[in-house]
Amino acid sequence: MQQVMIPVRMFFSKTGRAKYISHLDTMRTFTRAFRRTHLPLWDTQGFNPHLYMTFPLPLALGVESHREAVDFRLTQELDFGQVAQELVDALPPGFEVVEVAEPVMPASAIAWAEYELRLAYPPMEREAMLFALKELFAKPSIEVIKKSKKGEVLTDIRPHTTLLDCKVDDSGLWMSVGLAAGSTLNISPRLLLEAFEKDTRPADSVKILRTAILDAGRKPFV
Amino acid sequence: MSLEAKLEPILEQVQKPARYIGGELGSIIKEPDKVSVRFAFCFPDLYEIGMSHLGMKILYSIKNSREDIWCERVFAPAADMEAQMREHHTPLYGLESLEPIRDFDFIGFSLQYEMCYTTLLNMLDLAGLTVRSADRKNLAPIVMAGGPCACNPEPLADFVDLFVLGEGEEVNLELIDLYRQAKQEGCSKEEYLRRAAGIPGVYVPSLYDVTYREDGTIQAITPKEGAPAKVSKRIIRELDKVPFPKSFVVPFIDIVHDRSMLEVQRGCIRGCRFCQAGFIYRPIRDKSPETLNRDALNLSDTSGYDEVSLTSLSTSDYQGLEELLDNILPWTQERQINIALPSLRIDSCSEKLLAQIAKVRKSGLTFAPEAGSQRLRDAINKNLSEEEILSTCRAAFRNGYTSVKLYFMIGLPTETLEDVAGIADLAQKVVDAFYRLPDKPKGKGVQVTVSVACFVPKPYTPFEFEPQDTPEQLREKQRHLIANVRSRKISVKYHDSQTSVLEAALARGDRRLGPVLESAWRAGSRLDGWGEHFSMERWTQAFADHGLEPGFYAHRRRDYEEVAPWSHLDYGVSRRFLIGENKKAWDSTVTPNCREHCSGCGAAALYLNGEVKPPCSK
Repeated sequence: MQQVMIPVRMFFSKTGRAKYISHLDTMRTFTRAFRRTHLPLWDTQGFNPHLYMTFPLPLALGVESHREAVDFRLTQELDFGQVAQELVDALPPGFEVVEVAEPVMPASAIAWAEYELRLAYPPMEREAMLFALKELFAKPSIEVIKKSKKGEVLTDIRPHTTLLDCKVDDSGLWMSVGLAAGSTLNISPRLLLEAFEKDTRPADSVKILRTAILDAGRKPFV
Repeated sequence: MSLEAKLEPILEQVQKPARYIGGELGSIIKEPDKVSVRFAFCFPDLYEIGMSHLGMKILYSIKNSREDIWCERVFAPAADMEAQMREHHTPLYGLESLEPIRDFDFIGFSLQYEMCYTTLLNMLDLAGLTVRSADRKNLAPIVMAGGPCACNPEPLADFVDLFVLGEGEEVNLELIDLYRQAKQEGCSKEEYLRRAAGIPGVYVPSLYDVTYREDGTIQAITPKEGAPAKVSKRIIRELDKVPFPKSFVVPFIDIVHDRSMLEVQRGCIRGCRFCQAGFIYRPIRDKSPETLNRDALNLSDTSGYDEVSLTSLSTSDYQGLEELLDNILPWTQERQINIALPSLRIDSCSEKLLAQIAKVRKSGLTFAPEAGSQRLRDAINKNLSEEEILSTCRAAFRNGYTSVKLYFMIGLPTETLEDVAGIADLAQKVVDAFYRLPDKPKGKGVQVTVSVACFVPKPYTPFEFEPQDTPEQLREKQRHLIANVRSRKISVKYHDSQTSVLEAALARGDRRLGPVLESAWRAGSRLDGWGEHFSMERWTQAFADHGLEPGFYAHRRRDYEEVAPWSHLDYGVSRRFLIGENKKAWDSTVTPNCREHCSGCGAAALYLNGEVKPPCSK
């Protein structure tokens, strides 16, 4: 008999100390959190059954996020509010449940992600940095060496990068950017930083926050 | 700027930053102004090692169950993190509060192995404290240490204010209460230590004078200022009633033993003559199957772990094992939780037990014959026959196991090259047993891994009088073993003999090793248990700088009459018994286990004046 299989997508935030947890460790953390709940979870049906769980867009170590996604499956119909409550209780500090919903888009729909970057500089340098950033985005191309499994490739990331907003704030430079994301082409915010810091001095500290995951039409991934 | 903010740029530069930031499920956060005692529980090794240690989890839970105490975890940083901390002047901090531990009331170290001693010094230094006890004048922080190596803590006597001998569940709280009182009265550190020395199980090294003879051996150990002439170890008389954690701190990163752990019993009935744990944890005491089943349920519920490990020195000697498995297997199987039995003895490992474990998951089996020949197994009192080893392996093979790991030691007292060749012969017989089996697992070959450690003589064992083999002797034996292995189904792994020499010197060392330790640490030694950090040259130099040599401690035979550096510390087992056992080893005579017959080791006396009868007595 075929088991009932209800796909569920949970959106969660990963902030504070939790940003130091790598993707692999995040997966282990979620597996254990799921095991602490009493949810009727669907296992893979293979020789060695294990909890089915997949992350549509993994998050890099050191980056915080307001909206991450994880997909799993239930074996019986449940109120999503109840599912959310069970997970709120089971997750360690730093992980907050944002929303539990039925998945609408496939993971392959992901095409963009938005980030906020905070670069710390002394007050004297901030305006110059803002100017340098605007200059960078005024260029027709931004070339950086992108490391992949196949080796290092010189890539123009300009077409895959959008500067949404930028300003000087009380710690340095603040910017909001859109970067190509997904399984085919993924531009890390660190790659953009690398391009920026080719011409400027490295910031005293950098904070990166993922704010949204989007599809090709820049609509929220749901 | 808070330490957390200061850590940000550092953590971006290091491997596995999650080691250094806390915030795990089950970690305990309190309001600093609502507690009166801050305790830094330090494990002098990396996070992955320390977080795997059950004793730390027990004491963390017991201390934090008191509202007025906040106990935090502290581990040694890896080399990359240490470099960043030193560069950015970031002091060693507790993982819960991220506050510097130099401002805490207690800094307590767990001493699990000798090779951690330089790491202890390094952690004190990283905390911003001076390493020598005499140079830390204030009452706080009190630097204390416990664990198995506290049975001969003399090499650390210059650095640690007080040692806890034996089991810590009760005495830790007694020391904390005494401290609160001392703090209220405005006592000096000296006064606190004098009072602490009055608590049974507490050893204050500064209250003893040690004098030496011309040949370097000890002349006398003399107590002063009212300290007891003998300090006896503490034990928990009723293990079933001592608190056990309902939850563990569940790490984010992969650690060595990442699972629920139960302690089914303390102590061991066997009396293997090389095994320090087998003597210093006497007498045997166990927990009831009901208690253990409850502990397992608690931990599985709160942790989400998919494995429960039934730990002890020899879990198959636990009398309630079948009942426990009957209770525990139904619900663990339903939840797909694996049962791990890490310490099985070959003789008592029944086929039923093997089949029960194999139901959950088949992994490799590990056994420890320790010696290759029957004569040597008798000499070390490893009461195990070749036929028992082979029949257990056959049973394992019938149950689908195809890989067996066998642990041995070389350099054991009375050992000859014939005994060493016996290791290869025994491994070969295990291989042959597999191929002779008509119902052996189909389509697979057998893999026998022989893991060979170098024997290190330890205090409180019948071999504490014995010289350790020199590295040359050990290397010759290793070569002899390899030359005798003739099957590709057998792979041999052996340990570095140089670390064993240092381990032997520190294990039976005296106070004169304090300056040696400090020199080795200042020259860069730390995390000595890790091959990539260990340098024997640095240590040889440090010994030479102070006119000493490791061989005096490691390779010298000690008379029965010699005053041992630890002779003022009493672990229950009498010296008379150890001498008797040593003589029996040289006769290759065995001693029955504690359940068959009481041999009068002396540990039952730890129950004197108590209302509870020693469990090892009939």
